[in-house]
Amino acid sequence: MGSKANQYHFLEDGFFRSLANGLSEMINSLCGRARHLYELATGENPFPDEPAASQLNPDGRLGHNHRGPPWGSAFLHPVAWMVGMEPGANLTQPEPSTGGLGSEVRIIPADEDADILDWDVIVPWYDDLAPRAAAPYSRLFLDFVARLASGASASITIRAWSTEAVEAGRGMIREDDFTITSTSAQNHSSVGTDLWIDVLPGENRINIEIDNNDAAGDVHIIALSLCQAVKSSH
Amino acid sequence: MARKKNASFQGVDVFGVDVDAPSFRRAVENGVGDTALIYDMLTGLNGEANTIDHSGDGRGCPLGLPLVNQRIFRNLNLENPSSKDVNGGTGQLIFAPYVIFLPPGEDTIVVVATVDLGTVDDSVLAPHLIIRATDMTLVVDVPFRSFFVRGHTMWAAIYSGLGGGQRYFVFPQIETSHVPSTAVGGQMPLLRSMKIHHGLAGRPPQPPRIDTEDRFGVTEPTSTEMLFHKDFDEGLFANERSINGYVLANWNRNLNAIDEFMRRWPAGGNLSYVHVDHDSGGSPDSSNPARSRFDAHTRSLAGYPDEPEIAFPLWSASFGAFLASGKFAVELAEPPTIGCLEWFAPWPEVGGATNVDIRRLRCLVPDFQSTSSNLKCAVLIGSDGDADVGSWNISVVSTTGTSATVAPVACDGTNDWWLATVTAIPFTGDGEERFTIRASRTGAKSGVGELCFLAACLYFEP
Repeated sequence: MGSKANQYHFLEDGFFRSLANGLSEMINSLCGRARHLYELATGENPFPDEPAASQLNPDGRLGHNHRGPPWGSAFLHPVAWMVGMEPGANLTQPEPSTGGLGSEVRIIPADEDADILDWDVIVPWYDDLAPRAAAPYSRLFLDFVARLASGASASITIRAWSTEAVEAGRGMIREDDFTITSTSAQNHSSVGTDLWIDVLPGENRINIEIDNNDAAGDVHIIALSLCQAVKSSH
Repeated sequence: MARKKNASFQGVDVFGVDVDAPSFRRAVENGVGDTALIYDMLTGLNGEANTIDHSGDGRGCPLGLPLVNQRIFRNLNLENPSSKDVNGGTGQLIFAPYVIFLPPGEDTIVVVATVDLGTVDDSVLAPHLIIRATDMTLVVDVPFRSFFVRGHTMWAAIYSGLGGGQRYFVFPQIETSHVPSTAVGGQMPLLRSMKIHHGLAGRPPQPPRIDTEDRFGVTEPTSTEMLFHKDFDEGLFANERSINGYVLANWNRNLNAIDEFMRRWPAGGNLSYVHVDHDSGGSPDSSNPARSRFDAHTRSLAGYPDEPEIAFPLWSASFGAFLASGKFAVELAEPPTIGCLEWFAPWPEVGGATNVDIRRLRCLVPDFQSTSSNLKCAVLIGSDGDADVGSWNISVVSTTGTSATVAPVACDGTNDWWLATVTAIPFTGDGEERFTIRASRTGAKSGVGELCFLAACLYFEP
């Protein structure tokens, strides 16, 4: 039989000062927390004949799973993506066409806009950290590769949101501007800008609107990913 | 000095922690030894073999991250297909082939295709999921269940019984030979997106406690420590030795340090952290630390070369459709005009076979060590039965550098399916990378049908 569950019964330093009384609650707390930490570290209940001593993580499993505090430092990585390749002389691939039904994931004609609507994405489960700042996985940032079909420069406005987050009052439609300055593949990121997508744990419908503010030439989005970008909080 | 540590978790029963319990000393001894075990499992120190690498089975909870969330938005229309099971013809169409790396500890995948059906529906297309091992051995063939959810059709299938730590081919398929006529515009489904995940249900969020002051002591680690830990000699727990505040106080601090380190949350709900990520100059840097003071599998602290590294699936994408019979989804022409023209697997052309870039990805990358890169890429290639696929050289170019090239290896005896595994891909952790899958060939390509690129996945595998 294992010890009593003790996730929250921490002890102040004063319990251990010289000549302090030896209280049974001290050993109770120390032993119980050791068991809790073992379960949290290993994801295993050391005494399977009795209930686990610790809470389940956001996935509904036992143990820490790096889903952001208090479940461990979160990792930076892409959560969702669109992949393509700009046309090349040596590559046979679906022909690019207006609307992006080709090798590049989206083509935004000059002075027009293009939409990516109702993109079903499953976001890893996470815990909110209220009242602290937003938790890892609660925001997704855009990393993308873009190029100009012609011309020297074009400004695009990207607007994005999750239908579920907005409907639940847990997010808003956000946007920011990006400048594309090359006909070769160029890297861009919304990390550090006003553009991110507030998302809920689980199923989200992602919507992205891209406005080409320039009348000179088309903008091609070659590849795009939605990324988890912080370790502890936004 | 014999360091007190338990080989396995011992714990203490409730009678050992009751008031006036006679086994009081043993309770302390076991607790101290258990705490040392947890410390070693997390840090990899003291020769601990069973480190926490999130492989399950007592080695840490699997991370449970989705494997695929890919937006495709391509019509599966067939332009003037000829006959069945020929290049550009009808038959069993793998409409979104994937190669996935299933992390250790996982055994279940859920595959979901979101489609907008045209005039041809499930009863004709018979969508089903095939999973194969990398030698093309059939693992399972199950029908998709069809649901209409939030305005779109979802084909969903689940399978449990896979082996973690392995690669698999995931082949969602439809039958196109029963389509009433050559499908041009609007008849075949629009493939909107694909998801592959582990089917975890989650639970309601439970924010942790936060105090109004720092009440629970956490000892700040030294410059060369990942976290504070006081070792205890076994002799302290000999018979007739008294239990003292030195042991209890430091054991308490050991537990607090592990709590904050592992959870990245102040111990006991304290108002603030003691552990702080630092840049190379020693200044706090929680965004891009050179030295992480939390459990993050980074190996960023020089004194901790044995910190457990973990397997981590980064990305997996399908590049286009292919026929299950081992034929291209389009005719063998450059450019093709017959077959699944909006969504066929791309290929480097006959006229040029030097450094052809196939597909790009730009994304954030975890803060894993990159000195000896564990980043790999599996590239799934289809062929019209040509043995010359082995003459190709596959590499991955990142923002940081270019990997060595590898040749594809045939998966089975048909020469229709090939797999190239690129290893030690250069990367810079904790930031943005652009990855490009690149192909080149020794000698001229023998024919259009020599190869096409079906899918790829990037993953960390120590």
